[in-house]
Amino acid sequence: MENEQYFEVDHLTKFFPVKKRGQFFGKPIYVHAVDDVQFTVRKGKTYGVVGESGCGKTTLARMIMHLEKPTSGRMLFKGQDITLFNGKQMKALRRQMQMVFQDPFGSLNPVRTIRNIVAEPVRVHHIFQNRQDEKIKVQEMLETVGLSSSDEMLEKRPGQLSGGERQRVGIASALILGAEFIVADEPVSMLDASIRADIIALMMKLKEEKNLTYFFITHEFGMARAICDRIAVMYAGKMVEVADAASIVDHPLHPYTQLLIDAIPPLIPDPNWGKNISEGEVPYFTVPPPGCRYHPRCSRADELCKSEIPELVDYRDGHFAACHHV
Amino acid sequence: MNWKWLIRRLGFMLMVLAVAVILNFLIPRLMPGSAKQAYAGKLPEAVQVKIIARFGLDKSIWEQFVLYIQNTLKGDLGMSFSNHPNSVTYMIGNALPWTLFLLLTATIITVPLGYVFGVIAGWRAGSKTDTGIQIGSLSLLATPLFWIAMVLLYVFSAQLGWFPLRGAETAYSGYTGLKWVGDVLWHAVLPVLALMTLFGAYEMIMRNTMVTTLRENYIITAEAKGASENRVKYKHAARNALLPLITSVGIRFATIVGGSVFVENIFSYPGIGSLIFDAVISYDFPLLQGAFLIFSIVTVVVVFLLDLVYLRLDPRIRY
Amino acid sequence: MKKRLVFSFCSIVLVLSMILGPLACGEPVDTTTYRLTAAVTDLHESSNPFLASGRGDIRIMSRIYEPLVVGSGGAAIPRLAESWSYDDSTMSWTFNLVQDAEWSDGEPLTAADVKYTLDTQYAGDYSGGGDSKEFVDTVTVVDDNTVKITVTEYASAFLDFLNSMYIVPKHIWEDVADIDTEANLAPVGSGPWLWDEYVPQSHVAFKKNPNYWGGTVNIDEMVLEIYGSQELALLALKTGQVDMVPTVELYSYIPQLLESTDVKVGVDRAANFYNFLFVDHREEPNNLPAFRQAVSMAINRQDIIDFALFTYGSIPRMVPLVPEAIASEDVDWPGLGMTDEARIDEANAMLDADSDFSDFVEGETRTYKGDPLNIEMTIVNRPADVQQAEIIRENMAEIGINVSLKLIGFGPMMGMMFGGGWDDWTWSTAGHGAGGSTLDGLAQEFGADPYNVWYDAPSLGWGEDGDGGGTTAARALQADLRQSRREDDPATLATLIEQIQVDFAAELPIIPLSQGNTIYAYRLDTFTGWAPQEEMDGQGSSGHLLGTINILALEPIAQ
Repeated sequence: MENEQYFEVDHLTKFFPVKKRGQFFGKPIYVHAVDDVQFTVRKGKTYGVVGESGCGKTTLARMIMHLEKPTSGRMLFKGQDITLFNGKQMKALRRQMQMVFQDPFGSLNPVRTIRNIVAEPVRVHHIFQNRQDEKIKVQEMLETVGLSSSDEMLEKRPGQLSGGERQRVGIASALILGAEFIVADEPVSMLDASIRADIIALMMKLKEEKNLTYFFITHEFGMARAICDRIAVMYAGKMVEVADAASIVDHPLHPYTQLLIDAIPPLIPDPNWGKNISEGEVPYFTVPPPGCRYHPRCSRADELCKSEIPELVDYRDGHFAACHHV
Repeated sequence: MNWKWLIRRLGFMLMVLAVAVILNFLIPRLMPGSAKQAYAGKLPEAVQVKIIARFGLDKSIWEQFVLYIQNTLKGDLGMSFSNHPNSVTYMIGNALPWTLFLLLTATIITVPLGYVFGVIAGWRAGSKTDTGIQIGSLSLLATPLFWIAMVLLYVFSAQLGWFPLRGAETAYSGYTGLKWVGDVLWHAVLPVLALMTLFGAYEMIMRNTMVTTLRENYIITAEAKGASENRVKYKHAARNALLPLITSVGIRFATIVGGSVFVENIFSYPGIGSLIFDAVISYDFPLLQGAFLIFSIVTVVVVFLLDLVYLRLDPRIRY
Repeated sequence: MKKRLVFSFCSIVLVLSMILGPLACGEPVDTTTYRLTAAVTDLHESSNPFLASGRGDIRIMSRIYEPLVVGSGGAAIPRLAESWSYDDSTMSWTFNLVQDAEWSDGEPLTAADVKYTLDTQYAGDYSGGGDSKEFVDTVTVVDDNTVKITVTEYASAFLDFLNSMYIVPKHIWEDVADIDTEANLAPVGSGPWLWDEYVPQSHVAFKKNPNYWGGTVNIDEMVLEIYGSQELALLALKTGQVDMVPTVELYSYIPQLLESTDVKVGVDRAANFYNFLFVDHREEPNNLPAFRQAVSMAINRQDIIDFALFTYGSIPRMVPLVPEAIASEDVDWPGLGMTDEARIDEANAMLDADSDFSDFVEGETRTYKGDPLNIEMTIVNRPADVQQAEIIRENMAEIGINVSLKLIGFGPMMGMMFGGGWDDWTWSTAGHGAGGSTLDGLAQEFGADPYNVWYDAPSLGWGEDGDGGGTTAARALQADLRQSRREDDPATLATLIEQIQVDFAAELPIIPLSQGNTIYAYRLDTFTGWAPQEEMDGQGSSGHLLGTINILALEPIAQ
């Protein structure tokens, strides 16, 4: 089973209905947050999704965690279709799938103690019969993530912790049930640069120790390149390029991927860096542009790009790209 | 518990009370006419002389103030005009338990109700349930308290005869023990129901903070942890949304204190509200003042207790 | 968990109240106990007889304590004093007390208690005994059952004054440290009732005094319950929750009340409730009796009653105010017995007769000494008052007087009357308040004794060109009046009263418009023996219906 289809997503789509101002009747218009996405996560690997904010990657993560309901498509976990899992099934599944959140400040309930926050999943799943066992487990998890397990720490509230400490608490809480599939939604993007490396190192260490599988979402290509085995690049709800980390960094096929790679600051400062990075924001599509969604920003765009949607095509040993001009 | 905070809070409380006491001293003296008139004007002449001596109403304002403070500290708030020779302290002492019973019962029932309905409405904001609850709350909020009290009295007491027409207990009943408790509760049902219209305010506050709280990231965290809907709803969302509700209870308490004047008068309930009403129509100034002083004390104490509750509920607060 | 506790507590409270309440109250306390319940809306509780004042207090006082005599208007009824006499030579009254009166604590009631009460009332300047303190000199105990009161001048009203002199037990009150602050919450009295329970703002309950010297009370308990409004009190009467409402103030409810055949509504015409038109007699032409008489004659009082002041079925809230003695006999009261047109003609003739007034011309304003008769009439800005004033205005137009209305609030009106700020040309109606206080205001303004302002009308000095002669004449008249009372000479008394009333009618110091009624209501199916209507007139409904004499006559109807 190693390396086999561990978590699969098939034609997953999420449309959010929106109504235009002043329009009370008639059909709602949909935002295509995630549009016909498919990929496979292999066990023990880190699958990275890279994209600018608003590209749909967070929606994707939330659909995987069943925090959003997909409009269409399927999700398979260990070969089992979990798309239509009900609450009870999902609850059981959550013992294997957990999530680490982007915002360590908002994602921890401010009125609860660290002990309560870390213990929340085991309480929800009624793991321990007595509080003492639970406390020992919580302390063990705190130590695992490199935090003090003192009683003082247990009684602290999130407000009394630093950002890094909070994210460690978040990780401890995600791992306490022994989950093996972790969806990490930009886990370090809101932390100070000095702490990021520590958290990433911790996550990598835990991955090794506990044989975890990560579904890692980030907007920094550099980060993805450093920790991911396979990287998918998302643009406006669609995957534009999917490949192994080395392959995609060395030979990006899609112009958008190229753009992201160019945006990585060089280790040795280069006065010319950043000069040729194209401007522009991810457009907020209610109705996506026809053809390739990237064409309004693309330097290579031609008539074909404007009319025909490019398919993800395997160009080289599992290096997929969706571009007419590879 | 933070002792420093407690001492500071108590100090603040005393300051508010001091201001109330001083205002109580100043108001009759700022009114047209003399304090003599205000304090003793309606009593028999012989009593007037004694009242004037007791409160030093013929002395300088500073001597009066010292005497007033001494008297107030002794619990001597003067003599009621309309009920002389009963002292204001005696009248208030009789009335206060009833008012507290009414107000606290109404609050204790209403706040949890507002909480539950607020949670339900906020959880499914925009749904039909939410709209229904909102319409109910808004209508309650918009309806004058005395009107509701009168309708309740008319329908349930006058027409259906399910509840008594007046009072806090059956007059001269001789009931004791459980029977007396039952009698008192039976009499309290309609006044408490009338005061419970404040439910609307509590529900709306709860609902709105609930809606805001549900957008917080830790709610998603809780969902992702597999917490059940009820656990997310109550343990995570409502628990945090509760805090503004507690604050509003303190603020609203002053409102229902005002409302109790109408409600108690309509139901002939022998509380401070009825006392104030009677005092106003009979120009019983000392009684009115005493009642206001007591209401300010009660309000300050309630707000203080709510602060303690708040402190307990919101560990982030470190005063 | 805690929340669940709170919820369950609340629901238990609610459910308990729903179940226990009706259970607890559904059954009567004791089927063999007869209780009379009266609904009142203005009970201001005081059981200290030295400080008692106002309707509520009196209601309580007269249950527990008793005066020497009751009744008013010279028709004193014996109570603690079974007989009395006045000796002109020694200027002293002698009262013989009933033999076997005793206090509720078992001590005998003696002359020493009477002396103590009177001395304390007068020395402390309390209100009991009214103005009698002005002329009572000494109170002496003759023996246990006889008390002698010497006076500095004879006053026929002395017996009336004694109405509010509640005799208290000396052995209790001489130990009271400060009468002014004594709440007297466990009163020892001699009356038919024993004070048993007092819950402020809720009720006062009395038990019958089993050893009452004056007779047997057939009712076991009497409860005065305070209701928040007249509506509720009357509803309680209609639905049988109370047996009587001593003072009905919500006239509009009376027809509803009368739907029940078990309810009787009665009228007491002694209500202290008048409507007057006050004329500032110090100004021309108000100082002319003929002018005031013409005005009085032109006013259509029945119109005012019918259109401005409400009438409910057979029960008028107000009656036209004309002294009854005059109305019943053929006395020359201006305008009495004339048609409306004749009255107007007569009034016009009276003014035409005076050369200072210009002659009446239809639709024009008369002049007085060349100035047009434009009169500003100040009235309280209330619908009934305004309607009333409009009728007066129309009547005045018919005799060539142009009246303009000046509407002010009730407060300013009272301020004007008590503060002495009457405008020279202001006429004002004032009523709806207690007649006593408006008369008080009048008396203060003109420096007269408020007591018996009616009887003393001529002494105000009106009509005798302000030379004081009227005062002398009035004093002489009053002396005769007292003499006839003293000598128990009803024929002379009646003539003299008539004389005073005629004087009053002629002088019209104030122009009377209407008099209020006090309306009371009670149930017929719980007690019998209520005093008949004719006995009620002049008694004050609550004072009499629940008073000692009537209460002894009441019999419970077995249910």
